[in-house]
Amino acid sequence: MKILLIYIIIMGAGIALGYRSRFSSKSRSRDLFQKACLLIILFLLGHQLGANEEVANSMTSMGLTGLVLCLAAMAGSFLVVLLLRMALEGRKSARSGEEDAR
Amino acid sequence: MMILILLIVLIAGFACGRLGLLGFLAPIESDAVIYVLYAMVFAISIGIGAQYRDGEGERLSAKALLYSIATIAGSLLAAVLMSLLLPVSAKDALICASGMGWYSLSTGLVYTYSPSLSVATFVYCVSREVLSIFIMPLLIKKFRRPEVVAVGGTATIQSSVACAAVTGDNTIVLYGLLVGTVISMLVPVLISFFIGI
Repeated sequence: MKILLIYIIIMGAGIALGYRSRFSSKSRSRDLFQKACLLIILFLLGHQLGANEEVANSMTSMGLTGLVLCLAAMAGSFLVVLLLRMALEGRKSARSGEEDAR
Repeated sequence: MMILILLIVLIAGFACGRLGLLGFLAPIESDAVIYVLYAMVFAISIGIGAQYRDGEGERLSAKALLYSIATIAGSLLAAVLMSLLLPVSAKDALICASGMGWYSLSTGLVYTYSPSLSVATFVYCVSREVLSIFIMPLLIKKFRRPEVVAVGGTATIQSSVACAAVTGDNTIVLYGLLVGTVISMLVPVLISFFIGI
């Protein structure tokens, strides 16, 4: 919960700075910075997983159970929320197309 | 193309870890991930603030709370159904799925109930975190934020950041943070509840 609180504080500070300053809402340098950060995070995450013997050894037994549950839970959450949104907003908006993604 | 690059980088990191390369990263990488994420969230937040200033920001509705509950319900329902096919009871599947991607907390909580189930919970949560980083940027091209963010569970912050980096839609990070916060608050409650029944 402490990390979550820090995220909220950082987001609040960033939003306040962006709102008060003259920073552009679409900045190429900021996009590049975000992509670079994401690549660093993924490399470090992969390194952590690869170096963890417990994760490597458990992949075949209980790990497989966890993986199957993960895929099912992701699909379950996706479908339930999709159906709920369709019920709330109407079937026409089931697929938003690219206009909502941007 | 960006997704492919992300996948290659993840695999390269995993390979380095398995081969014992770059071992000097081990003591610092947990902290490093968090600090880089902080920097990234800060940069994204500046963009969000600028969007609101320019009148491009979106208002968050109470529906987000409803979608958060639906996200949990979907995961738990799927876990119960999968328990019919997997070598775990419905109760164990519910405990495991209640982690919702928060491996640092849920693995420890489940360990007190069953060490072997805590391994499944760990893999479940890590997989949800990693897979959502790749799946969400693909889904956001065809679907809306509520169902896309639901895929991540509590790991919506990192995966929303990945979505923002790939699609340029920074507002999804704010939405992801809100949904992730609501779900995170319920994770310890859910795990304790299902262990107790």
